[in-house]
Amino acid sequence: MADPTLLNVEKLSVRFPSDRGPVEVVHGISFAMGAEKLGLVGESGSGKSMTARALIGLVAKPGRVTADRLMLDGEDLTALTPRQWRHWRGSRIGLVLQDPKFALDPVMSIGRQVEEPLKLHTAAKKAERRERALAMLEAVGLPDPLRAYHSYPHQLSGGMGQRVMLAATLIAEPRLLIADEPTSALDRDLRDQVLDLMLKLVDEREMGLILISHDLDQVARFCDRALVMYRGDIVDRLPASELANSEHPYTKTLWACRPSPSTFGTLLPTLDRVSLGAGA
Amino acid sequence: MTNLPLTVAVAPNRLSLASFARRSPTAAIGAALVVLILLVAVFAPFLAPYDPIAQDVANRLMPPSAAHWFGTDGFGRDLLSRLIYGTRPTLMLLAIVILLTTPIGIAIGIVAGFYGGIVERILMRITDIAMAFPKLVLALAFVAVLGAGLVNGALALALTAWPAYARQTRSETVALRRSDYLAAAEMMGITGPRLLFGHVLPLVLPGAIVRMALDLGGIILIAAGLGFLGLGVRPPTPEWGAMVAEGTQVIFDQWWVAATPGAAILLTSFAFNLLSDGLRDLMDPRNG
Amino acid sequence: MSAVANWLVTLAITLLGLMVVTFALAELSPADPALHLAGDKATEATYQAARQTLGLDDPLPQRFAAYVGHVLTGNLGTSWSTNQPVFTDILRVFPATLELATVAILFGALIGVALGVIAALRPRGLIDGIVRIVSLIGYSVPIFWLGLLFLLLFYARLHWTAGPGRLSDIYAYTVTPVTGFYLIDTALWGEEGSFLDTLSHLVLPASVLAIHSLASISRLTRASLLGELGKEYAVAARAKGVGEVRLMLTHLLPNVAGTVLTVIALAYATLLEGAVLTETVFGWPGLGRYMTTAIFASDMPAVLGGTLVIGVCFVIVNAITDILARIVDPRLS
Repeated sequence: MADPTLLNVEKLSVRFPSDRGPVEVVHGISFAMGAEKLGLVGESGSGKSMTARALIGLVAKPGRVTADRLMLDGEDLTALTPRQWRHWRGSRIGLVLQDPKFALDPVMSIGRQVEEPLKLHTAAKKAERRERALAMLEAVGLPDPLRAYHSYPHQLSGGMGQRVMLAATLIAEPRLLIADEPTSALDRDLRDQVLDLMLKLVDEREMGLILISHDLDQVARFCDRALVMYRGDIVDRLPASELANSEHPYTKTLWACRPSPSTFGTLLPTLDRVSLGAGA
Repeated sequence: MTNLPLTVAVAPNRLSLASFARRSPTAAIGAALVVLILLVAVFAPFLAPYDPIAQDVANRLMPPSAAHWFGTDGFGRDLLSRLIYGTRPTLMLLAIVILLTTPIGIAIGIVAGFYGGIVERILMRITDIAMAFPKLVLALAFVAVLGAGLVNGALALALTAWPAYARQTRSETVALRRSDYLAAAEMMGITGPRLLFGHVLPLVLPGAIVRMALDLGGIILIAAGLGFLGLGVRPPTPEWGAMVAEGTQVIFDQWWVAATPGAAILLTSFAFNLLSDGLRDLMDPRNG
Repeated sequence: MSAVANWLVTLAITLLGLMVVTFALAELSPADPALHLAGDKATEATYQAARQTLGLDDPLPQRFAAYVGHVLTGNLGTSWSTNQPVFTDILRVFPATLELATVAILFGALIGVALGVIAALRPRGLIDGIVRIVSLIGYSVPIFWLGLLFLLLFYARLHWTAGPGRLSDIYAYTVTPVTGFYLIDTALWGEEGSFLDTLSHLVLPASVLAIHSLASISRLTRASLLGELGKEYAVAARAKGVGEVRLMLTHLLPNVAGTVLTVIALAYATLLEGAVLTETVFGWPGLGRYMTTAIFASDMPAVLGGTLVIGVCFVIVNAITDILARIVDPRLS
């Protein structure tokens, strides 16, 4: 029932002015996805985070976003006014950030922060908002939702904080969830738990998920497809399960560079950027 | 308050005036105004059309005219000339305050920051206590009790102004103490006063200068306030605060007598505040 | 509990330090209190007796201890002009200053924060530039001069407000000073029209006094808010669909509340100082005018007593701001 093409992106570019002329951080990339899990991988500076921000309309001035086509659920995002964008954010597209320590408002109660999208995008009254918030907090696996509701961010652990972020992002039932390094700030053991939770919720609601990560193992395990970005371009597209076997030199090196206990004491391969070509 | 990056040049770069002005027009304008006021003070005898203390009672309280651009005061003295000469006591007081405050404040800050331990705690305690005192009121009491005058006023202000420098210098010194730069110098055998003066001092100086510019704007206002209450330089030497007081009697009719010296105070204070704002912008890497 | 104990000890030492300063000033003063007590025409014996009474020949530490003892029991000496205890005089005039300062800080804080928020909404825009310049000017203006100009313009020329003083003559003797705060006294027990008259007299000096603090409060509010704008939680909030104004008011402002409140409290302390000059210009019968009158009359006990009282208020307000910041931030409570 969901639109087979949930998100359609054509020639998306993000440009920043600088002393030496405009710098393109994202170079006219194109891709499409349905209600699936898409992984976006690359090193720092590849443009993956900027792509995420562009998709949700949060590229800060003086940056400029241009695209031939940017459609979500059949709606043209390039034609949105700032007011309409404000409605879209949170209710149609959601963004989960990396570190709950910094991404949650330190002086606002958890309950209020989770309820906020409801207050902004729905006509739900106070009592209903509270109920839905508590239900959401329970859905993300918090053992004591009521207690969490009245708590403040600094009283929660990292894992709990990330769950709260998920709750706040999903409560208004967006169609697409973008998760920007959602587990990078967590302990290793927690990462799988949080990702499992994210996938479960995404599947339940038939949403699309764009998972941005530098951790290829994670993407290989949890996503359906993967896009590999390098210096603002998409250099490789493949099913996520095939990440280990890609023929593309960059992807191969990325995969080989993953640090793990087995590589301890050996030299990790380095990237031959010259042979990759001057990607502008 | 200022967070100076430690990479502030060991050998300061020579910035051209043009790039300085481009990076912070605020600082440039402020500096230009300050220099202008300084020049007026230095060249007062050449700039002033009349003798500032020459009375001409027949022509008292004249409105601005061709002969007297800003009119005359209650004794027939030319206001423009008095305004021009009024730069002198103000700047003189600033100079004395600077000369008294900064060496003491910086020295205390460096010693406290460098040696740490009980020395630091005692010095900082004293600094904190002095910092909690009200500046204007204490200056007022000081001058009221010990007699009016330029030097007393400057002394009073200096006694309440030094703590800010000590605090700031100390925290900068503490940051520097752990730096490689200092460790390298010590390894070369440089210790003691030579280390403090030759190596720590040049690095804490810029922050102190910015702080100073910030304070001067406020000090001018306090000094003017003292003058207004008759506790500044003795008449008939022209001083802006006192001139405003003289104009109070006739404010409703000959308002220019009080208005013009006050505007001069405003301009001077504004110039220093502008300069310090601009300097702070320059020093803060975030505001590039 | 040791943080509180630490705070108390620091406060006590600071107050003691303040007394050291006022005591030192009294000692250094060329005016001779014994001479004042005995009178010009006194004989040598009377003079010596006066010295004895005042304990002027006792050793220094003893004199200081006596001084501290006197202050703690509310004895600030006797005014040389009014021949009343300085403490009583000050109690009489203090409410006027307190009223003026409180109205001024409310005015300065409300407008200052509002201006700071408005400037932060469009950083580097036109409004921001105007707010910055206006607050820089406000920061640089001598308040005694501004007071005079306001009187000239709004009272003498435009007749929009009342002139100097707290009340017009027709009401001056009708008000029963129950609290000493005329706004309250006239509202509850005053004659018809006396409340408005009080307000009319308050508006100019309060505005003048507020200008300085308004400037620094708006600058700080703006800077703090801009500092918060780039933080992660602001981005996350925007991603939820929060608009600029809502972001500013419900997320950013509460986060900087601690800092802003601290500045407001500090400004309040500074206002007590600024009142000295403002009251002189407006003939406001408060502690400030008491001080300047005492200065002109060379009334040393009054000057030093007033200095001590203002100093103590200043120090206490400063100390309380430390605690304030902690209370407001739920992270630190």
